[in-house]
Amino acid sequence: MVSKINNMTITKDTILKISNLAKISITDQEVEKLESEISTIISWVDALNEVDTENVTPMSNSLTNTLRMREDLVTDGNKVSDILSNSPADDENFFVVPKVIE
Amino acid sequence: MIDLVSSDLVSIRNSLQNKEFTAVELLNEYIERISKSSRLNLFNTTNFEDALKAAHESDQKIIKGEARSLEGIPIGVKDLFCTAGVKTTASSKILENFVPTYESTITQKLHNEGMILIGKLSNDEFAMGSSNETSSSGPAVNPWKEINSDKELVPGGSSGGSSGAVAASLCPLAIATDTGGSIRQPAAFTGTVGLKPTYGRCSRWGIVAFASSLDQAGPITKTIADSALALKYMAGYDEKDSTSADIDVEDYEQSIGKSIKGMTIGVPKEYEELDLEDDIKQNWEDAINWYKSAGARIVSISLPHSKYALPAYYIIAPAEASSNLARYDGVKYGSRIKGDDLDDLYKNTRGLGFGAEVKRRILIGTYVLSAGYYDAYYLKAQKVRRLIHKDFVEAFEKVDAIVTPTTPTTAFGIGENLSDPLKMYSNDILTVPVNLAGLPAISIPSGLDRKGLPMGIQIVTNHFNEGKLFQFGSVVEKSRSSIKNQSEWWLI
Amino acid sequence: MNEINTTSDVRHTIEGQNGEWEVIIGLEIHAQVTSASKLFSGSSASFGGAPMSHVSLVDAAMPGMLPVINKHCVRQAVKTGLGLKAKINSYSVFDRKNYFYPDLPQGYQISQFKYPIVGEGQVKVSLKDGEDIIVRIERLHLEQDAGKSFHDIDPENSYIDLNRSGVALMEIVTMPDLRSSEEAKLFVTKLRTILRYLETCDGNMEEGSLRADINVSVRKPGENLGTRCEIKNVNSIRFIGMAIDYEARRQVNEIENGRDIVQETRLFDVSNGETRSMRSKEEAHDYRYFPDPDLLPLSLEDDFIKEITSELPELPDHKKERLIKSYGLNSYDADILVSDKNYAEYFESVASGRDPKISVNWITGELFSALNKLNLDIQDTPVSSDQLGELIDLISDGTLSGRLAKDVFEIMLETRKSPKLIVEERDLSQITDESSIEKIVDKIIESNMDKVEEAREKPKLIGWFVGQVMKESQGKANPAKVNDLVKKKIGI
Ligand SMILES: [Mg+2]
Ligand SMILES: [Zn+2]
Repeated sequence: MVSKINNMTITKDTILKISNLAKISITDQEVEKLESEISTIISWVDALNEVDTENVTPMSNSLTNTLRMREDLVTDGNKVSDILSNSPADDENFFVVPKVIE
Repeated sequence: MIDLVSSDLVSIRNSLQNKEFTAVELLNEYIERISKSSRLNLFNTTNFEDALKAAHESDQKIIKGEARSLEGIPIGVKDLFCTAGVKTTASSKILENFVPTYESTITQKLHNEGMILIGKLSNDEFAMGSSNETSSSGPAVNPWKEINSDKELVPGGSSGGSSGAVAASLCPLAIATDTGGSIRQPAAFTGTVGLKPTYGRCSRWGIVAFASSLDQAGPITKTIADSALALKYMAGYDEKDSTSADIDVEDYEQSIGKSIKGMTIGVPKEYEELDLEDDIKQNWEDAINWYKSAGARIVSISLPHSKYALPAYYIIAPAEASSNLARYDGVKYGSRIKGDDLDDLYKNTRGLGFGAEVKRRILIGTYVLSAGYYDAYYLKAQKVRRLIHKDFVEAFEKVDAIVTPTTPTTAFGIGENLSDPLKMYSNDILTVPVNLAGLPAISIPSGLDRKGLPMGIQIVTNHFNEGKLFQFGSVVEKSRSSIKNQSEWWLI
Repeated sequence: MNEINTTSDVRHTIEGQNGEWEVIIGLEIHAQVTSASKLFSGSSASFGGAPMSHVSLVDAAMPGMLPVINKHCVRQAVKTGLGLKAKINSYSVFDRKNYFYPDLPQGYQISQFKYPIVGEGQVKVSLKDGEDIIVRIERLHLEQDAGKSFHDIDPENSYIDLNRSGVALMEIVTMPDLRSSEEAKLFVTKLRTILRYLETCDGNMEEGSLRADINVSVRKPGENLGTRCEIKNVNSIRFIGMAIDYEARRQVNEIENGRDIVQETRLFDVSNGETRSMRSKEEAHDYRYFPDPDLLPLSLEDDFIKEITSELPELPDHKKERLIKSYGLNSYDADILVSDKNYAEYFESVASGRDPKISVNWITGELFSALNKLNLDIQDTPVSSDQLGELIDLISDGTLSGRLAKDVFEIMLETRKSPKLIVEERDLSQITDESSIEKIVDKIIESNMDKVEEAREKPKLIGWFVGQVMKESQGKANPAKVNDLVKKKIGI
């Protein structure tokens, strides 16, 4: 039995870092709450370390068959109105966002 | 007056086809009942006007003898299925005004059989929850109450709107999704039949994704026969979904009531150690006895890794969700909340558009996939998933079905578990392993506990063996005592 | 032919203030797969189109949309892998690369990370000095293109078009085996030739079908690799060279002035030929790759790979060898001919049954300079290979002199007529009949008797007589015969 503890503590910085990665603004109060909740959850999932997974292949889908392929046919497109029908901002059939600086 | 309370899908279909009442009459009865049930807060959107038009057309078809298999029957649909021209919100502020121009495969298949959309049903925001309390339209309410109590209870989640609507007889069939128990747990909490088919059995195309490797559509109904009828028209191959299985659809209705004599039922010994309410434990024992009486052989089986299913699930599902929900960024559709620049726009839109539970899960998912943590969490969970899957595969070499309770408790009060995520998550301890393994399972109402609340028995069979679910489910349906809800306290 | 050890030999250096520097270059080439539809959706992959016209619900990442892979794109990747003499992986996985950008509608790019479809391969590149180097290919994987952002339509906003969103790309990654801008340019040219032979990518750099990310670092010869910078998205071979030269010089200057190189993403500015740090990419990315749960692993059957292998065309290296062997061409001419398979095809058609050397000279000389002037591809040549062949035949059988042939060729370019027809119509065939030539020679000598004496002393004047005779014959007299006769008559 392999037993190793991840011992990865969630700090306020962690919360800020991942909320930036996930592009989610969070308030100061939220940071505190999330820090404690996520810490609890992460230490709870650490239970997985009790499981010996040596030589176990990860499973990302329960289906055991492999990818089905389609033929190379143009069957879609030309539906500008569908694409833009829920758009919060568009012009000349483009989506519009605040200027991006590269 | 049509007696909606005692009407199930099969009997409504028969009555319509025998012209005992018209589709318009039926629809009007449901509309009136829905209007009187607003206290339950089960519908995000109603579709009465379009539904009436469709019901008129159905009546024409019935008169002309052109009725399709489910002609004129109203359905409620979880607000996660995209419905053309009808708002689809996933019960989230971020999609509060989203109107798809397209129809999900599942709802399209049902429309093709003549079914009519009566409304979109509430769920936990983006299907993340076990109580239907995180919907942007507020908590949905269970039509059941404890005996001599005024306390309002949750209908379960995430498909609480769907389970509640069927339990309150607001529609004979609700279409829902199950990622970790989101059909079966609410079914157990509301005395309804909830079916999660094999992963790949029903198309996911057009369903707002939560965790793609786990999400599966299924019906919530009053009876097993209804469930089998619904699945018949939902199941099948869809070339638009790469994970849809190209396997023939069985004639599920044939399995109902078929003898189980000589068949084998597995009882996982690890589940006996779980913290289950006494009445639920008792009910489980009762069910096993019903199966013995029906001639089944009962064997003890081992699912040694099942106890790790919940933590594995709470890594895998948030990881997939963190990526699936990245598309809600305020650029192409949905709410946009402006900011100083694009980065601000993203953060405001997502920070204010998502609710607390969704944000927490996105952050957990982001964390477990991020550099330095991927192997320790995500990859580890995927390995454990493999072991859980293997446990089931080995068990099904010996047994035809596995029988367990659906939930460790009956319905709890609104607000009771909201502040404790882990307690909330533990609701799904018996349902989650099934999703990780991609197996089919059904929850059948199996009796009332001492508080007068419904309990559910979960039956699990091998991949693509849905027929056996109905076969084994019939035993519970026949053997249990009455589960009629005595009071319709919510009607106004 | 010599092959240099690509990794260790110092082939090229640049001069710094205090010594030599070696430049280490690796490339990531994004090559658009030639296909009718996109990698995961059925919308058109063709270049251009009105904004948003080649966009499906899948490409716009509408809720509930799912990817289904294009078999032809998979074939194209395998074919390319075979053309790069690479290992084809029968098991590969599609992953999600997660980041937010407005032209990335899903919030992730579907790519391949851990398990690419093609593994290690190699490309032979002939350098100007006649030596060959082997550039090792690390991998090739399939991925989606993003949409396009326009920053210059509006002063306040960026505009997003999704026509390219989801178009299939092959990312071809080299080992850091290149040592100069010249080598890099030759490599990309060779790679483009191979892709065009295979017809897996049209190689059209103006349309963005081929873009390079360039990794550049510098080191003192023999020392360890330095810190590298990545120059993103350079879309012409000339710019690739300019970007490398600028960046290598910049890095040498930084180091020689005591500053460290910061690993970063840079942009090549076409307007001033400089590279600069990309502000938007400054924050360290954490792409959180994980297997796309909407897509199962891709598994390639042996027969599928065999079938593609059997369809492979003759590739430039083989073709070159064969041209040298069967036609006795030199390496220089062979290189020119194989640089475009249409050249080689044209050549082989002309050279069939004719003198290869004369054929190649006509093609690389007259034909290429004419095409160049007319700005035409060889596919659109006004002179077909049959016609050029006919022209060469007319030279060989003495109908046309070299000079006349050039005149006829000019007329062919204009009229697209066959050389025989032109010769007939304009009575251009060479006068070889000695008595006819003699008449003209006599005439010229008689009217220029004064020059005859002079010519006896200064034999150079013979040329003048020949010229006069040619002029009199309207260029049709056989020059060799004229020459002989003039000499004979004057008495030299
Ligand atoms: Mg790259
Ligand atoms: Zn790439």
